[in-house]
Amino acid sequence: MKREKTDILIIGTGASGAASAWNLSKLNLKITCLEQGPFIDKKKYSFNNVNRETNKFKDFNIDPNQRRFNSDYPINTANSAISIANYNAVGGSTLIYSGHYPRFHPSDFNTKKIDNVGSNWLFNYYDLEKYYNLNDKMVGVSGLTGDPAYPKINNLLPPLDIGYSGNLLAKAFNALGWHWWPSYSAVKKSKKFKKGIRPTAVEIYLNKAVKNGVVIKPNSRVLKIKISSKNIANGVIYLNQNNKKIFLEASIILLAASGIGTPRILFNSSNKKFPNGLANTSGQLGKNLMLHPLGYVEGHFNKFLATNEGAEGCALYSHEFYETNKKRGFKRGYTIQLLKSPGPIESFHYLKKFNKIKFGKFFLKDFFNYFGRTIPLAIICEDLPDKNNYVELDHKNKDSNGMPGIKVNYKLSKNTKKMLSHGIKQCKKLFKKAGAKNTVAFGPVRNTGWHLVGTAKMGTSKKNSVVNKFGQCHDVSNLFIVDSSIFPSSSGVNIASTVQAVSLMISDYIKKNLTKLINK
Amino acid sequence: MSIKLNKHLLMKNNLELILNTMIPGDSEMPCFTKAVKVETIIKKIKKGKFLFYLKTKEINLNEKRNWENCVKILGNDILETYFTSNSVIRALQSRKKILLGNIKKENMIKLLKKVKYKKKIFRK
Repeated sequence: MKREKTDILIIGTGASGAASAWNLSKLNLKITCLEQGPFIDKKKYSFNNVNRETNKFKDFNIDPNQRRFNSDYPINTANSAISIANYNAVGGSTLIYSGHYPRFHPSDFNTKKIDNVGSNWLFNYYDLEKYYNLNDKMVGVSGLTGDPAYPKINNLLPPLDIGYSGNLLAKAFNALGWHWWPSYSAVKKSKKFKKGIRPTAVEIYLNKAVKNGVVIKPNSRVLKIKISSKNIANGVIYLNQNNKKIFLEASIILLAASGIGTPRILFNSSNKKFPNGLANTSGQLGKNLMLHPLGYVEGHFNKFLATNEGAEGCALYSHEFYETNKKRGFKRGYTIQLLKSPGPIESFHYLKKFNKIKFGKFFLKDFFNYFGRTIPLAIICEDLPDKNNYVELDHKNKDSNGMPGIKVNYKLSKNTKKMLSHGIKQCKKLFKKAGAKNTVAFGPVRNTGWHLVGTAKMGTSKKNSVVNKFGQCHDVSNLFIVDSSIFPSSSGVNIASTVQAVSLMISDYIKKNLTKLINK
Repeated sequence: MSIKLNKHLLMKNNLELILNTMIPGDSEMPCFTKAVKVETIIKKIKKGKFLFYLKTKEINLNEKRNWENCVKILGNDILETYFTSNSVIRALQSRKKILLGNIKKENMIKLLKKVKYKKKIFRK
């Protein structure tokens, strides 16, 4: 087998891998990133690509089981209420994300202490604040300072327009006395590009990392992490773009393959010492999967509101029901997000599913009764950790290189069901106040497993956790996990901002302890 | 006129009829063939038996089976080409301007005043 050598190896180039790659690139070391997906031209995934809507059904389908590219691996969700959404390419799932960029709340780091549910993090919001700020600066986050739902957030770019639908709902929120705020968004306003510019991990971090000398190897799939007799990771075996097996020796390894991909690699790296998966003395690897179950409520209005335009992910949001309130009958809470309604092609498919449109004489009439007149709201529920929600290797379904896929075992808890039902009721109340003629609601929405959290949780001991507060594996001290799998709780907001802030924090720790780590 | 040309014209007429019946257009939106050239659709379904059939006789869209067949074969393709054509994008924009003409938006900052002075709702 051919051998290669690097100082620091990063597996995965999505939100977390990219942030670490950039942060570490300032060191005078050889850094290599392995990415199982290809490099994709920016024009293809831009918001402003005229075929963006149709691409959602083709090359940029969010479901890996439908895409079935060589770079994808099978994710069996037959035993899960929610299916997994991801993207394997340089930049990872940020190539198709909406760019909604909220931070976690301070309480999200202390759910055990405050609400006696889940587990506490080993650091808090204020420890992470510096990295949130740095990440916001790198990304260019749009938003508005002064939100009473958060500690003060400064240095934001001007907020995005909340649109006609946002305006209408803002009045309804005010009438009910509920909190709302324009969204935090990784989308910059642009005169040239109508839909704004949304940077992905490639533009935010990877391009800069490459300029500093980081090497990115696309179409390179890691098969196994190898360790020495002293439990030190000494490299990985990967398949390069020509399908040749290579042993890449590294002094420090960072895993950044998401809450599904990371446990998959660790399970696939099992050996005599770690028969149940590398770094899995605790038996916690793969467990406590959290997914942000999503409820959907749609309000139909008589007047046209151009609801199909505006911020891609979220124009405004409400945290009125974010924190625990005993009267509601469930712990923790959720975000209400105002989404934009689908474009014309998605609208047609949606209406067709409910038999509300046909080609022919009334095609346009039926179409315009819906298009631009429907406001969608998403209810993003905080998911609580549960050892019965877990991922495991799926030996029946293998990827294009013969490696086992992953099986997701996931059920909604009673707490989440109550939360969803509460959220749907409140959204209907909001729509009634806003003057909707009728509403449609359902949940959980199946194909919304975007936020993959908790499968290699952090903790103080190797008896009950996989990594310590710096993402360092208890069992293998030069192996770090920098993605969302280490989160002990899921929060009720999109995770991209926190994923990158945590990744920056861990890579800072590595920088500070480099000599100690490399000399092991 | 050669037989080949005749067949081609018949196919084109048939296709135009089908496409404009599926998406007929209205006072603001163009019918399908005003937005997209028939040739674009011919290229998309070039290899199918369907085009060959359209060359043989005038199609009767009142027959349920014929209609359902057309929707099944052409549905996705025409939807995509229609809604990504420049004239339809333009028509949607001008339609939007007309419909939004009478709706006034309130200033967001003004609307936020009520929220801004609300008690802090996050817990430490």
